[in-house]
Amino acid sequence: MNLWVNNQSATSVEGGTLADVIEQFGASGLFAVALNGQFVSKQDYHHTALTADDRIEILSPITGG
Amino acid sequence: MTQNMTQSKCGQWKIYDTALDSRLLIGSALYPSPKVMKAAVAASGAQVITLSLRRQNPNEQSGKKIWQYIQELGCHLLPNTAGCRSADEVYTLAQMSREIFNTDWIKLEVIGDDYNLQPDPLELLKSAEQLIKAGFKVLPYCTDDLVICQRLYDLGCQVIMPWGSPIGTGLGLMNPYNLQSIRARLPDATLIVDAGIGRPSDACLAMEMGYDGVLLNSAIALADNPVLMAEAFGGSIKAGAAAYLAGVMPQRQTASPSTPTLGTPFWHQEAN
Repeated sequence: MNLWVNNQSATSVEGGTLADVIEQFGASGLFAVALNGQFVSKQDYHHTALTADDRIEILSPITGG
Repeated sequence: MTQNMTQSKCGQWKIYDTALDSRLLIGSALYPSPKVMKAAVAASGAQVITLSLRRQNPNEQSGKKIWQYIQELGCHLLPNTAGCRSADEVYTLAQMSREIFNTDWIKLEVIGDDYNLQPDPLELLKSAEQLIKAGFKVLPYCTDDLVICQRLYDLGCQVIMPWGSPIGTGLGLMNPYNLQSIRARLPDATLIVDAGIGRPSDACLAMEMGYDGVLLNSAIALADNPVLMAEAFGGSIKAGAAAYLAGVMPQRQTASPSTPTLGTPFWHQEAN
């Protein structure tokens, strides 16, 4: 099924979890995740099921003012 | 000057329950290099540094180096919600920041206009209430509107951060009267001027007004010599805080000689 990860098109198997997509994306270091605009805590990655056209944001620290 | 304010200007002060020595809060962006950023922050003496979150790119590793430098500075981290335009966006980003940085502090930014990056007062109040309920210690960036500041304080924001002028302009304190009014009407709030500071004298003036601290980024990062400018800001903020404590003399409309007039030499006297 088609998904969006950091505004880029991605694919995942039916019934895939958020953890699967994060691994496929290659996220590393410090990051946090939102699914369809809602925060998902780390302990929930493995049991958060995805559906087609879900939008996933994987964010990391940057400089800021 | 209230007793609380007097005590707060002597040595340490607090952001929520955290005691601090330096009254300068510094941003981590816009420096010529991560190395210069680290040196400038160290030279400033700041103990609080702001940072943010953006989309990760697995092929881009430079962010990790910057994060390493920030960690090595040992400052308290103040994540911001820059780029958010609604309370819903803020809430999600704040939760992500709390998980990554392991802090309840959040610099609440919710922008309402692209031209001057002015905070949206309605979303700001809604967001502050939502974040406080979720256990955040909120440091809202707002305009110098007294009533908005009062509402934020009433909601439970112990720290309020009115702007000096729009972000990145370096225009200094556009409305000193407004800032003075906020200080006078919220004597027990921790007040920090955030944004628009251009020169060390702007920061000094804010401190002379009785503000508890100053948050800035561009004025140091965009200086020809950021490290030297960081030292200058550190000094100006200390000077302003001391001046507030010392009590600035009242202004007068007429001249008054500082040299005693008694015993003025004879040449001003008419001959008999």
